[in-house]
Amino acid sequence: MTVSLDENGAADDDVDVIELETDADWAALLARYDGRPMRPYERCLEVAREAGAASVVIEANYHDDDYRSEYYALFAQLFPTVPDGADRLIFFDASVARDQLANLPPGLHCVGYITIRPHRLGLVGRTVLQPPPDLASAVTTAVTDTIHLYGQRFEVTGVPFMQQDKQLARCAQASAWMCHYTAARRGDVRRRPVADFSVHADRTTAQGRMMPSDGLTVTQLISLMDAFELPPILYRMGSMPSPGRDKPPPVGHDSGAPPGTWDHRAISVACRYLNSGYPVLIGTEDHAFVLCGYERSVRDDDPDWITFVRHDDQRGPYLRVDNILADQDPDTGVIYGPWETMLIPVPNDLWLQPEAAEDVARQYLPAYSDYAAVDGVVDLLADAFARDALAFRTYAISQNDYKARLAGRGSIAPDLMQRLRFARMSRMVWVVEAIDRDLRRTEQPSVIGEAIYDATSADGAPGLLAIWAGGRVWVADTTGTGRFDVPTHPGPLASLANRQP
Amino acid sequence: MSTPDAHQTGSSRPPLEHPDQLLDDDEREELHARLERMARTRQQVRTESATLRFG
Repeated sequence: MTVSLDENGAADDDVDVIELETDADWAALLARYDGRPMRPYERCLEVAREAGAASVVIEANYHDDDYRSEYYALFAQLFPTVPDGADRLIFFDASVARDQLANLPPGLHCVGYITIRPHRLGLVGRTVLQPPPDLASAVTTAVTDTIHLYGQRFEVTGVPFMQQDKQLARCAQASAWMCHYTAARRGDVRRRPVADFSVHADRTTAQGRMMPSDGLTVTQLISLMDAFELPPILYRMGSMPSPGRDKPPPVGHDSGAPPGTWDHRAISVACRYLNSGYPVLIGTEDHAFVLCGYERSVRDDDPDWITFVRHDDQRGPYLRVDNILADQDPDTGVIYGPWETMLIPVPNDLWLQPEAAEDVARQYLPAYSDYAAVDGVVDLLADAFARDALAFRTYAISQNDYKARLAGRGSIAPDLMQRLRFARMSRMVWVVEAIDRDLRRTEQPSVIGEAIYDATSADGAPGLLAIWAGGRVWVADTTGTGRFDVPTHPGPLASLANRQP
Repeated sequence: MSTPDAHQTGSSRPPLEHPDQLLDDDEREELHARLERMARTRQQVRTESATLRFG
């Protein structure tokens, strides 16, 4: 094959540079590819535009590891000839001239990339786009990905997205890949190409043919993610845990209605993992999608209404979930069925479940705060409780990150930071924060007490590593017996949960 | 293992061995029962959900 080179030495057919200034420019880019459905690609372009894209470089015949894995497992076996390369669209925040491609201007910022499969039923392959500005603060599971273009390195921070191809992978595999690629970019696991999520699924527990795929069972998904070093934790609507004493079951639990229409406890469960940076895989009766963040707002009588952010492989990235109990896309009106299951792929050594840690901490923290409030120290937990403003927030974090970020917590007392940094901790810990809701609403540091748990301890006996509240801090030695129980001066501190005040 | 700071409580009160001491027997028992119930529910969810399909 003869490849013609343009005057800059770039192959004419291999690269295209397009300015994205007008509606017509964006419409032309949309029309460049034909998909069924088109909505995922269309939404990706909306996100890129909202994130500030001003130009796009299109690499043709791009060797994408994920698409190549699909090509080997599926496309090479089809009767029609299918190209073995994809297109990659790299978006920048400023104009790019074709003759600058080998030496792009300094300060050029990459807004993200979309890989386009040569396959109408599943146009959008591996994609990472910056969240749109109005959702940026809500997204808690973003990771940083690196893009190389002609030897030049760019980075983009966003939540990985991919559309199913409808034959090899369905929404289950696409959603599992989104969770796994996020973990790979976070450094928790090694990267797996998307075809692995179909090829390596356990055939013995399939309830039908593996190809064409009609999704994965819960058992298949759990064993697959377990083999890929990200064993998931499973929850089911109707049986959601709710830490704390004397909590009545949700209204509607005895109505015979699907649990997905009344089990609001799922909101707190999902938030615990999103606080930790872990995407949450939701299953309805006939679909799966991924939650990648949430935000609070004032709604009617509820000052803490939660709106989630969703990646739906059939509708695109960064979509709002307004009400999980009556799930309808607020922008398009698309109705999702009641949620059934929640699956969260997490690192291997996160054994303790957050609800067990939180349940214990909900009793220890007020008791410790009361005990520690002597010599003129105010019991901040009792004070918040009296104002009906006491809440708890739980998240997982590595002990190294926890200790490293302590210094950024504003007015943390040096002796408290020293005690916590010297504390012996498991690699991963669950942190339960006591929150003053009134402080949180005004975006001030709102953590007024904290309990830290060994993530390798048992659900029946969560292993407390440290606790601080009121005027004291207690730190365990590795036998669980107190090593320090000393005065300190913890004021309200900033949270270390992802993007929370 | 030595606990060099265990005595440095900064006040006349004895150091707390574990915050568990701050709960009374009833509270401890109730907490333990709740954790057990939670664990049982989790096992049940795993069993009942095995054949559900995603996608």
